[in-house]
Amino acid sequence: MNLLFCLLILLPAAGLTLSLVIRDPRARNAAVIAVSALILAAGCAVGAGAIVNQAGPSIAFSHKTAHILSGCITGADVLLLFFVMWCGVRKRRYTSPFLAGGQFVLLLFFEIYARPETDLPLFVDQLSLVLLLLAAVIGPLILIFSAGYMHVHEAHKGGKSRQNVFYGIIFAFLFAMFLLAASDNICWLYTFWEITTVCSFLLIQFDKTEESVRNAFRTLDLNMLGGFCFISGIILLSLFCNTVSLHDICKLRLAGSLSGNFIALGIVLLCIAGFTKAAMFPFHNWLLGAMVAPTPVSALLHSSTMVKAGVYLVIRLCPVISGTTLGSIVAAAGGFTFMAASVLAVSQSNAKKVLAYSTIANLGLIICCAGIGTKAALGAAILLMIFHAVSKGMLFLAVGTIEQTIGSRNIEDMQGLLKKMPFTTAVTAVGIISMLLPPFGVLLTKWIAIEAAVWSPLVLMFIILGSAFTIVFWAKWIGIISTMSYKPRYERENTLPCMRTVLSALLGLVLLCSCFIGFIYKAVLESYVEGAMLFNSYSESLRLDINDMSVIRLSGITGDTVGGFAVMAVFLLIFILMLFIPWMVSKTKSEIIRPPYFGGELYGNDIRGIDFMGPKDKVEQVIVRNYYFRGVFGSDTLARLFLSVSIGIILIMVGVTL
Amino acid sequence: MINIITIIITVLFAPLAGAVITGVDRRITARFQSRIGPPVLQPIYDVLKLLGKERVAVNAMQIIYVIGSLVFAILSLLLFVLRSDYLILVFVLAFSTVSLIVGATSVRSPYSKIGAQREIIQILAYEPVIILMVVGMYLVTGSFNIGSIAEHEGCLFAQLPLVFVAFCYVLTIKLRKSPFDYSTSHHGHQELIKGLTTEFSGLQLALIEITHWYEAVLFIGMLSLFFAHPLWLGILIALGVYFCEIILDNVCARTTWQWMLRFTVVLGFSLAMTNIIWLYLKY
Repeated sequence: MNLLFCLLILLPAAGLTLSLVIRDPRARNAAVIAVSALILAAGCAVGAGAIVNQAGPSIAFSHKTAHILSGCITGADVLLLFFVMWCGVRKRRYTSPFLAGGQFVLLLFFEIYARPETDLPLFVDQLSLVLLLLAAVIGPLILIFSAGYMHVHEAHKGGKSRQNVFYGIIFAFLFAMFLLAASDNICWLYTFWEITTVCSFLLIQFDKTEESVRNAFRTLDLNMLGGFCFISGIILLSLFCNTVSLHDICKLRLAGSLSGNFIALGIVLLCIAGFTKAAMFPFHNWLLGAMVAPTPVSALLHSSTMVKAGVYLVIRLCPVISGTTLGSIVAAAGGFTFMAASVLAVSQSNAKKVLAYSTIANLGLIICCAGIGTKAALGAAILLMIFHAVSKGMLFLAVGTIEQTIGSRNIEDMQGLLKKMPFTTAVTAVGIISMLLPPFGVLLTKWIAIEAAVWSPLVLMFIILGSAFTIVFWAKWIGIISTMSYKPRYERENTLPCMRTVLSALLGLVLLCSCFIGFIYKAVLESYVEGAMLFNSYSESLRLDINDMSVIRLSGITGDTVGGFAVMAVFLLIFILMLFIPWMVSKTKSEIIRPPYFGGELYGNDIRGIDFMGPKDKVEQVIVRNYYFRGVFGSDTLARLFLSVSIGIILIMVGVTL
Repeated sequence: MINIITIIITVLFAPLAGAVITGVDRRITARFQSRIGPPVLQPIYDVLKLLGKERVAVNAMQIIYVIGSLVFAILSLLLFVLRSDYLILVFVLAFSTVSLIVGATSVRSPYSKIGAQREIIQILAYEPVIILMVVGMYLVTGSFNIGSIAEHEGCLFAQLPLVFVAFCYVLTIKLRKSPFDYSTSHHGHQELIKGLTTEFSGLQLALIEITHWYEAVLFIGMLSLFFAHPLWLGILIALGVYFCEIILDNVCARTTWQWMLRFTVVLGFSLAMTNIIWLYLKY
């Protein structure tokens, strides 16, 4: 088990070396795919082992080894900070070097004055396992997808191939991600956190256009700010609690007044670090800019895994902040992000921007759940983390595939896509439905979130409004891609086989995750939620229970049921419908086909209804666009308002501990 | 066993009740316009006639979306009679509408596409208020289960008067009645022809009509929950509210959606939220 886990960690390192060393593109692609498959297998094996043994792998170090490793990791961090400074100074952008310098000073202070002597292990508990598996399953899949995608991408772009660097960075990222999930020592976690930041920075500016460099630096600035908060939080916690163990920190309970409490301030700083990584308002801008990166990067780093590291940290701290004022503020910040990002998404017609806003919104909802801090909310937060990663990873890849075929990522250009790309369109449609409708996981967690938030009206209002706006932008999109004429001649998609395989695999994963929500909860999450919330009486006020038949039950403090839903039954119903509807369609063959109604002004006998007779008998094409409400939801005033409110919330969060 | 009987009775008889409600609606509307109006069972005759029409379609997928809309409307009614979770019911009902919207946008017709866009705006207006209503009921009864809500001692209306008003208001939007009939204008050949339903005919239109019947019964049920003791009183009051909706429908002209959104923020959302806040402070 532990051996397997070591293998899982070392495989990306092997991948990194191979992809940098092998010069021949074909051999390199083969090596990348092989290593990815191995990572996938090892990840699944580790996951299965952890579920069967009821305990994840853990690697303990002797005192001496721990000391050496800590030294290495701190050294790596210093190198990383200098690298950031060098990058910034070279491009004459001084914000991130300044913040990196600040971090370096704090790190120095920490090493000299505040570091407690520890020999903490690498340890995977259920929550870490979730993060680990997300990276170990989605990561390799996206790497395999990139093997096809990047080839086409570079063919479009021209110039010298830099794919070896691309794969190298992604393998480095996976390496950091696995260790980040497994680190109990928060200083190590901090270093791997910074590695993912730098990987993200390098991948965003991968295309080397002016825009991508600018956006990459914005990412670096905001994430360096997060790192600065992170190291400050670590120093405070190690000075006042004398521990750098994440598990010990989670056992802290903030009792009494928060005011003047340095431990609370440390927790707040860690939360803010989590917020920056999770692109919460007001730090959300970097994620929008990050969309200039090649699409597999957006899928892997900016929606499924790296941003999940941010929410992971906040979910970890959930037992500490549960039931305190701090918890309420975190919930409000998350809820506000959920609402604001959903509102702004309505005005977007760029598919990747819509996905980015929706990612921000969902990360906000996860953090909101963590802030609410009941057992049901904590369970919902972790479940949403899983569902969102899988669905959004798939949606990003689908959009990437569409973009390579139609040459646009504008939703309006996806009109009639079902004809051109039946498979990818179907994948996109399922992805959208899984983000929006029952009985898929994302909606279920939204439902649990609303039921968990009833006692905090402000948060409740945010979630309700946000969820209404969510319907608006998804429904518009799915309306566009479903447009078709009668029995179109479906074209054969010439998507590369590896891309198609990955999309199918993710499609299966989306359906499986939602079907087996009961299993996931029982096998992985329940014991974590119960264990983490031990001795926290507040968290008892709403509990989540999902049995093996995927019947979800919410119960209050006295054990009485307050809500429930049978997921399996609805899935069964939909399954029957899926059989029934094709049968119905086969029955309706004798339909008479008519063009759509045009008030008698249709041109020609074309039943698709493409042209109509305009004024002065001019033949014009029918173009119907979606509403985007740019004047209202796309206005700068609104964006600025959201930004200032969210900055206010962050200031309040810091303020209550002063 | 008893559940299965309930399911069968609901699926079979709810549309009949819905048809009668719609028939009475048309009759009353006719009287307002100094006409005699059709027989009360006319909606059923209409649907039977639509079912017998030749099958005209614009694309092969339309029928699937229409069936989806119908099935999820039935499912939400079943969730109601089986006393399941109220919030899930609201989500399933939204699914029903979204399915119809996708059906309308799946054809290349400007009328039905614009109708669908307007329907999305209508969802935006009523969905938050309906969820707030459910939350209000939870704050009073301590449960999201329709069973527990119905068995709650005392009149919910007394605790949730503003929520009730807000709900009645958004019901007008949900039923697509004037002044909020943007997505499917009442009278054909206005600027939008028949909006959302322009491209549906024959069997499809019949199924949409049946969906409306199920929905009508569901809304009567949702209204009567406010006065569940005794049940007949609740149903009577709900029918009374429905009657008011018909009057409103006949005395109002269509407004613009911008006006609706602004008005909903004031009359729907704020009113319901006010009620929720005072409940929150009380308990």
